[in-house]
Amino acid sequence: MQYLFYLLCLFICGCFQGTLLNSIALLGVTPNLFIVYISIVCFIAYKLDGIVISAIFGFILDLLTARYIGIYTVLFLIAAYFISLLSEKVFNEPRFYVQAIITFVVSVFINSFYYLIVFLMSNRYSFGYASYVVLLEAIYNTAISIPVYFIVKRITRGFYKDKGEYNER
Amino acid sequence: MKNLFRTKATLIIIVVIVVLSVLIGVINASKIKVTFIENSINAIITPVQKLITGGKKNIDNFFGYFSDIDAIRVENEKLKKENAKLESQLKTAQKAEKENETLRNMLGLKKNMTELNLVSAQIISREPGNWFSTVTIDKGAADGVLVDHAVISSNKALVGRVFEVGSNWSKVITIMDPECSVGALIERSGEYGVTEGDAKLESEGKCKLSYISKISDVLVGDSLVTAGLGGIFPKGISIGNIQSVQTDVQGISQYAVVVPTCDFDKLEYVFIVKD
Repeated sequence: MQYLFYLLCLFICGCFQGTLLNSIALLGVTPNLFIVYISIVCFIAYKLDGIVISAIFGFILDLLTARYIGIYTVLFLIAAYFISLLSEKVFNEPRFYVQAIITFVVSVFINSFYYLIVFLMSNRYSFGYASYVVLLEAIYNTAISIPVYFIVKRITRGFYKDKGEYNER
Repeated sequence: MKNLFRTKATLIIIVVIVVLSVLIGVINASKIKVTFIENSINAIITPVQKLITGGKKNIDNFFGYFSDIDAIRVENEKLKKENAKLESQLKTAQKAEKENETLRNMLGLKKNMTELNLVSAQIISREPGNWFSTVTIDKGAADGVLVDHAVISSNKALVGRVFEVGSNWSKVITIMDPECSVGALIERSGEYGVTEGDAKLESEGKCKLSYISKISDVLVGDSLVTAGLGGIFPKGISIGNIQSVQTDVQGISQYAVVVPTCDFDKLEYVFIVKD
C-alpha cells in the first residue's frame, strides 16, 4: 500500500513541478516539491525506504531536468542518508518544526551543490545570484513543507507505527 | 565515526554513491540520444502535464472574465470599430500580396519567413528547477521534430532550439538559458555578436549580447536578429532589443543586456522550424 502511495506522490510531483508550481513562483523562484517530499519522507519513513524513495525521486527529477543525469540522484541519496540518520539517532518522534528546519537545510545543501557541480565547472558562476536563489527556494520549500508534512504524516500514519524499533534493528 | 562505517547499510550507501558518481560522468559524456527510461517517463507525464496546463489556463480565464467585465465591454466596442477598419485594410493587403507574389516570382527571391516549414506546438511544462530555462512542448519525433530545430513564437521572435526529442514531447532550450548561445546580427550597424543566456539576467527575463569589442557600434534600442551562421537558426529572426551596453570586468570588451522580443512569461504556443 505504501509503495502505491509513493508512486502516486512521485507522479503528482512530476506533473506539478513544471506546471502548477511555476505559477506560484515567488520573485522568479519556484519551490521544489521533490526536495520537500524527500525531506518529509526520510524523516517519517523507515531508513531504507526513505533512502530508496529519495534516490528514485532524484532520478526522476534528473530526467525531467534533462541536463546532467545522476546529479540530483546522488545529492538526494546523500541528503536522505543524513536525514534518516538524524531521524534515527536524534529525533525518534517526528515534530513539524524539526522537519521544517531539515527541509531548509536539505534545500540549501542540494541546491548549493547542484549549482557548484554544474556551474562552477563551466566557469559561469555568480555567487550573489546563486545565494539569492538558494536561500529563497529554501525558505519557500520550508513554508510549503509544513502543510505537506501534515498531509503526508496523516496518510502514512499506519505505515510506520513501529519506526523506532525498526530503525534500532 | 568508526561506528558509522561499521554498519552494512552505510557501506552499501557509500558504494552506491561512488558508483553513481562514476556513472554520472559516463552517462553524461556519452549522452547523445534520449534513453528509453527518459522517454517513457516523459511520455507518461506529458499528457497529464498538458491537462494540468490546460486546466490552469481555463481557471485563469474564468476568474479573469469576472474581474475584467467592464474592461471587456469597452474593449468589445473598440474591437468592433477596429474590425471594420481592418476589413478594408485586408482587401488592400490581399491585392498587395498578389502583386508581391508576382514580383517575387519575377525576381526569383528566396522564400520568406511565412514560407518556412513550421510545426505548431503547445508548451506543456517549464523547467522544474531554478537554474535553467527550458520548456517542454507537445510535439516530438512522431511529428518529425529533430534536435537543433529552431523554435520561434507566433510573432516570429526567437524562442530557442530543440535539444531533446522524445516520442510525443520535446525539450526546448530558450535563448535565456545559460547553456544557449545564438549568433546575432545588429540590424542597424551590421555587426555580429553572440547572444547568451545568463542565470542572473534570466530571472529578469533578459539575456546578453557578448563578444562585442569596445569600439563596436552598439546603441541602446538596437534590434538584434539571428545571423544564420551556425546552421541552426535561420537568418533574420528577431531576437530582441538592446537595453543597455556595459563594459566587462576585465575592461577589454563590452556586453549588452538584451530584452528578448518573445514574451516568455506569456508564451503558450510556439512554432518549430523544420527546414
